[in-house]
Amino acid sequence: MSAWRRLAAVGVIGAIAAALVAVDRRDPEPVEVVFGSATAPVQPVAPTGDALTTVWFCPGIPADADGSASGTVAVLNPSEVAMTGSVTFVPFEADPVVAPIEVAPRSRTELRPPMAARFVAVQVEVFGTNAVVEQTTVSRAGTSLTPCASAASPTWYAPDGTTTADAQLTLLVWNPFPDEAIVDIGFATEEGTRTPQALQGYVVPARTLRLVDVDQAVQRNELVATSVEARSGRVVVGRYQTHRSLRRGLVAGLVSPSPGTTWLFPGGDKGEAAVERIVILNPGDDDAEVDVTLYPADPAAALVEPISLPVAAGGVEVVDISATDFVPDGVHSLQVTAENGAPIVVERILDRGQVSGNIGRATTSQPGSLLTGGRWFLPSSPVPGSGYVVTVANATGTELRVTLAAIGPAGAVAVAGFDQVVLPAAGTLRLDLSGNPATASPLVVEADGPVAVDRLVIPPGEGTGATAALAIVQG
Amino acid sequence: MQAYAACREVVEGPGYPRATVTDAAPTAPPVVAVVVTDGVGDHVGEALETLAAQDYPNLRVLVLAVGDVDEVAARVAPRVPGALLRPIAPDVPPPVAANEVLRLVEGAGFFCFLHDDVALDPPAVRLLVEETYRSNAGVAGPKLVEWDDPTRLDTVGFGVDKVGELAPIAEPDEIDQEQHDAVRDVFCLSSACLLVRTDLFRELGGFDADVHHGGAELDLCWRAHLSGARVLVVPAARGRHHAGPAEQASEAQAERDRLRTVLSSYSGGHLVRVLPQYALATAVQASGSIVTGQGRRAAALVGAWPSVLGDLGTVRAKRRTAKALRQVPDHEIRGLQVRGSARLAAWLRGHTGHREQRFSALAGVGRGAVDFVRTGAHRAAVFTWLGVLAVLVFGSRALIDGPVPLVGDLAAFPASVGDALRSYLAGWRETGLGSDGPWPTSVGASGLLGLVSFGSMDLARTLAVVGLLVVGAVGSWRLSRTMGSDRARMAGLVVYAAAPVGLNALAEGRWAGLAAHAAAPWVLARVARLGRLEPFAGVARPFVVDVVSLGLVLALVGVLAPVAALLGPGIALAVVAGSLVVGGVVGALRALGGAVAALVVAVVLHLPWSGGLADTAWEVVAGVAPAGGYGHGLWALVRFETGPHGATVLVLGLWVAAAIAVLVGRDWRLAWGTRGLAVALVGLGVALAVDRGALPLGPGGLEVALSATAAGLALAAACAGGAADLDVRGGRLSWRQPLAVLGAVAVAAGALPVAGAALDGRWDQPTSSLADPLAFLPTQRNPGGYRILWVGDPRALPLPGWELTEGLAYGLTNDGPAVLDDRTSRSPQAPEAEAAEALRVAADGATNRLGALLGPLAVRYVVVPLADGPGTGPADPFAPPASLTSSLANQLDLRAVDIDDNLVVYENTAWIPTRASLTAEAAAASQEAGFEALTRADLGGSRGVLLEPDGPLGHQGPLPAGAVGVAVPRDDRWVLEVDGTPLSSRPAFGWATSFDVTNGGEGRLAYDTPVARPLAVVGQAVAWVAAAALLVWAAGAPERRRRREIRGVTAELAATDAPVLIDLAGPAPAGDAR
Repeated sequence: MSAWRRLAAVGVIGAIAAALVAVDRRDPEPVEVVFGSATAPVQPVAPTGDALTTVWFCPGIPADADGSASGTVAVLNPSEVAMTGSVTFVPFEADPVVAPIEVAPRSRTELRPPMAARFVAVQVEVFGTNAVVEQTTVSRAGTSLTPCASAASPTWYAPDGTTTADAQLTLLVWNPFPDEAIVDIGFATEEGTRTPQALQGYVVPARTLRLVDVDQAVQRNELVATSVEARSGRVVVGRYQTHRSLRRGLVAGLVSPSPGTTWLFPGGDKGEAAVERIVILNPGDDDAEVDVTLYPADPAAALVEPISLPVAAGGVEVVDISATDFVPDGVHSLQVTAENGAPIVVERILDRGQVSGNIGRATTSQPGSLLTGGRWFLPSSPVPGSGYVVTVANATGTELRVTLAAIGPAGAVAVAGFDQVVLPAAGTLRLDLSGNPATASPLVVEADGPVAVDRLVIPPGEGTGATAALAIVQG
Repeated sequence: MQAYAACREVVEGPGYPRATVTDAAPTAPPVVAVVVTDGVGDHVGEALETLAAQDYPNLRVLVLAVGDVDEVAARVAPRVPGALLRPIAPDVPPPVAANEVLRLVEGAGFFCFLHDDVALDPPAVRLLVEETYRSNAGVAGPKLVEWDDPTRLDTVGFGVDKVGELAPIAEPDEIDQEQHDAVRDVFCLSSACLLVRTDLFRELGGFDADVHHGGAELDLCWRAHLSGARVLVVPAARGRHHAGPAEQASEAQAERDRLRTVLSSYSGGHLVRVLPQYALATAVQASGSIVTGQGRRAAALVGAWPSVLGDLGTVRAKRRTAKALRQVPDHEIRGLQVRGSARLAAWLRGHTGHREQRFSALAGVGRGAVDFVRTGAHRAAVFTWLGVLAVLVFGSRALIDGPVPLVGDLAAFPASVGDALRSYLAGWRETGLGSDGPWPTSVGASGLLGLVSFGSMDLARTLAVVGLLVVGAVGSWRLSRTMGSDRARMAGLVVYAAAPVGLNALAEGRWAGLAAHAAAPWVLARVARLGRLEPFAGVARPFVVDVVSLGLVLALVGVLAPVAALLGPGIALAVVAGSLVVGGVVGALRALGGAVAALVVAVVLHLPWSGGLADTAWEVVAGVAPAGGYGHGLWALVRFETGPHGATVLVLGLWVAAAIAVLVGRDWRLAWGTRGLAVALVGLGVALAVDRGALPLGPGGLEVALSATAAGLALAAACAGGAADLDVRGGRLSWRQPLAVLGAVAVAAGALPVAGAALDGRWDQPTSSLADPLAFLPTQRNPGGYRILWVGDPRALPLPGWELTEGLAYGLTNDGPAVLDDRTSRSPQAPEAEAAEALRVAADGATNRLGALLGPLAVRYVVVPLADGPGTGPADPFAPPASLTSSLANQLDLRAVDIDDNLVVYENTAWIPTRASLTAEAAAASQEAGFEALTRADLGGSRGVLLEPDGPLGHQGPLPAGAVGVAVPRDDRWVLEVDGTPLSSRPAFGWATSFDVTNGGEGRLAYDTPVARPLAVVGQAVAWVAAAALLVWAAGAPERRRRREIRGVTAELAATDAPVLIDLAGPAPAGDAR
């Protein structure tokens, strides 16, 4: 009897042990802790949903006492309800000033710093989600338009920059938070990387705007790519680049907060009007295999093989699109993709100043878009008489329909001739609004699929004020 | 008296006082000497001869013979020819036998009770009688010297302290230099020779039949005092005494007698004062005895309580008798007693005065040790215990030496015993944001533990933490006590102590694991007892008592970890599973039913706090589990490696040892070995489910399951040990012998890792505490109370907290690191859930003003722990989701504070102190509810007020005019008085409390505790006492049974037709020696 019980006991115990082993051999489903829907900022995004508060950070506009350089911040309220909030002007080397703001439904307000300062960063805090904000800088060097940041970031990258004798490059590093930020600022040039000691562990005190003169740190370089990486805290980084000779004009705007693998640039142009180049910075530790793909505006244009090139880790490369023979002339969009997944940062330069006959039309330099969406805001209006071209890029394989609407008291009303315009698959749509009275209003581009939108503004006359900037996608 | 007057002429001679009867008048009061003897012993004859030699003229001798009456008669007759002999049954206790004199003798003036090893000098009885008349005493005794060396004193009476401890007037081995030769009142005399007035002895009812192990004299003398009689020592009367081993009562019985005498002799009012002191003295003496290696004495001291309290009927009867006797109030009785502690005084004398005695005591200990080694009784078991204790103490030395760091959720105890007990009585819990619910029992228990540790809460916490390891070991020892084999008990003890469940819980700082480790073997033992399965069937106790016993254990473990109370039904279920294989299913099912009922008992014992568990979420009771489980894997769990201990393969030896039971055991060894392994495997299965995230249990849950595994292994290993004794030893040579040897080797191998781990001295627990970096927070700036919002992986949080999302927990602490109170075990209330909602809003990127949302909650710091303690390093990180840290970094009103690599800390710039004078803007915002209002207002700038604590919950201090915000959920019982004028409160921010102070003044904020709360505590205390009393009553059952038997014998004796042998009022019976 005892023997049978012993046998049964051994058997059952063995079976249980075997079952446990079998269970253990099955790999458990990995469970990721998911909390909140916020994602790391990759570019300015107009929020959606029912946020309690949203904040926009404009990296800095000049506010010279003599008016030689100035700027404005445009706050668009595209919603049906009044927008309330506050604006904080953070001047360089002076105390911030806070003021309440209110923007009526479907309207826009332009803010100007109430003080004189070399630069003034502007924080627009809104109770709700109904604001889209961008800044415009006007100086003798030209005009520059840029979206403001919808979030601060621990990293910022500016692939394009020049510190030649005829250029001035200043970084605007703003810490809007109540604790100090410590950042490392480094540079990549065609000769290699530079990490000036003074800019390592660079302290940006709480709620303070700091200016870094890059042309002092990295002198006489045609190409200076900048990286700002925080050891602690988060910052907002802008770039103030002026050109006086070969490259002319002003680039004053936000740089890219995040590297990515697929960058989309609407509004490229190869022809006599401009020289187009792209600058690729690889801030990571792995070499990147990069492809540049073109989406021509002309549906009849022949398909072009992608341009492939390697970008070394920590290095910066320039691709001269205009000098590439097999790229057809005309308007196109560009998509730059790191095929091996190594994150890169890309900017496009459209240099009209070097083209015969276009003297004074200046150089534009803008980050591409890592996002695509169906709704893009263009809050600012050009000065009357400006050339104004909106370009929509479709990198999908699907034909899309695009509507350009003006935001006014009646809501978003389609601009005549720009309602339900067909955008071919893998194509580019160029909407020329020069002289169109609708440009006096904030605009919104709506598509029935994911697109990217930018605009080119060419102020009237022989000035140096051409500027190009992405529109602001609604997230 | 006239007759006595004839005996007055006394002639002093050399040596001892010698009296000469000048007029041996026959009217001298008759004295009957009563000797209870079995006739055996070297001194009986000489003792009897001295009785015959007494010069007292009217002395009769009555010999009460126990044992062989012929033998006694043969020894008595030639020596005391006229003595009367009365046979007494051998099982009659001596006091009962002595009481026979009341029935056998009439007309005597005095009874002189004598041991059969006392040899009186010839005039002793006469001198005693003379002094009794002279001093009007009721009880008198002679000076006794040592039999073999009459120059040394044996006793000249005793003083007694308030708790009944005897204080001998003569020191041990004191030389008799006539220094004690004055007649003096004493509290107690030795029963070796005691002269008692007959009328008094009858009034007292004789010796107490229940007190018969050396406590009889104290009991009799105390009652004599109560009746107003004097008790004297008459040194002129002298006797030699040989105190043989037979007279040395068992220590346990002596302690029981002492306690019973004290309980029955004091009046009620006095007893209320004395009893706590008695209990304290017991605790101190027991602790001292343990420290000095006198475990038996400690057991006697502590064991007396349940035994005596379990027989309260006897005590009550004695009290009634004492009350009837009482002529003297207690304060006069106290006047007769010695001050202070007799035992302490004796100890001090022993350590300060008598070097010779010290050496003598040491020599005694040495002799005892030699005897122990020589005889070998339980030698291996004692050495095993010493080894286990040595390893546990040595391995915990750093923890014992200093306070245990605040690691994991080993939170600090309340600051003082008063704080703990007052808090427990208060009607408001400060946990989280505060609530009007009852406190968890742990807070009250910490206060009681603080009492035991003499008010040191750090010591109490150390005792709780380290003591739980020892409690577990003791439990494993008791688990196998009915197996009747030292080898079984040793195997069970070593296997359980070597399974590093408790050590890992200690190292990682998990109360639940520690508590479960301490409780598991106790639970298993009680479950086994409930099943009434052999060998546990022999313990005859009512089923309900065993249910309550298990319920108490579950309630105790539930104090620290409610989920660990599930060990009872869980283990019982595993026993049922094992019984399906080896039989005994009915018993196992009975055990399961009992375990479920015990769980109910545990819940009842935690009322009213446990009443709220019904609507409490599982993750609150069980703790928030990490997402996807713990990921240790089966291989680690088999080795109990949930922390730094168990990494070596040697731990598998414990499983091998347990498996031996199934292979070599027979009968109940096989059955319980299988059931033990079933418990172990079920525990392992549950642990695996928890480990893989299939069963959500918070930190410590793994150890709770594995503690059952360890207890099962210990039981199985004990069965293997028992099998080695009962089934293998002495049997014919077979495969069983090598397996038994293998089992022993496996146990030894399994124990090696723990022995090695002891070298560390702190069981790998971090040396620094979470409180250390928090001390760097600028908390003093703007005082007034603040809170910390903890959020992160549940394994890293210093408190159980509440679930924020799967794998993420949050919790609130007041004014710094977590304390014991923060083991909330209740669901978050709406305002607390607001903190979670605020975090969600921030993590959704829907605000940059999290600080403003948390400001009214008085959240000054948001802390995200990245590891389970400072200094645990990146090897053990519990990284929270990036969205959380990213969203915190994006807040415009949170300031990062860099204090430790493992803590992400933000200071809220928009916080409002817990008690604050609100700014105008904050006051206006407080009129509204909801997040929107908070984000639109600037809440900064409110200043803390009411800074001085006033009682457990109250605060006071100057108050300016304006709105005063108190960041606790609104409750009308919060009262703010300004210059004595009470103000009515209003809601603030939709949930908090606010007062509008019109004119500033001295403010006092207090919570008016409802009377129901202390009543509930009293009710809970009554429930615990009742449960404990039931067990005590059950523990006293054998003693009661024994007493019943004695009473039966006594009654039988009384019913026996006993003719009066000595009638001193009538003619002397024939054969009278005189």
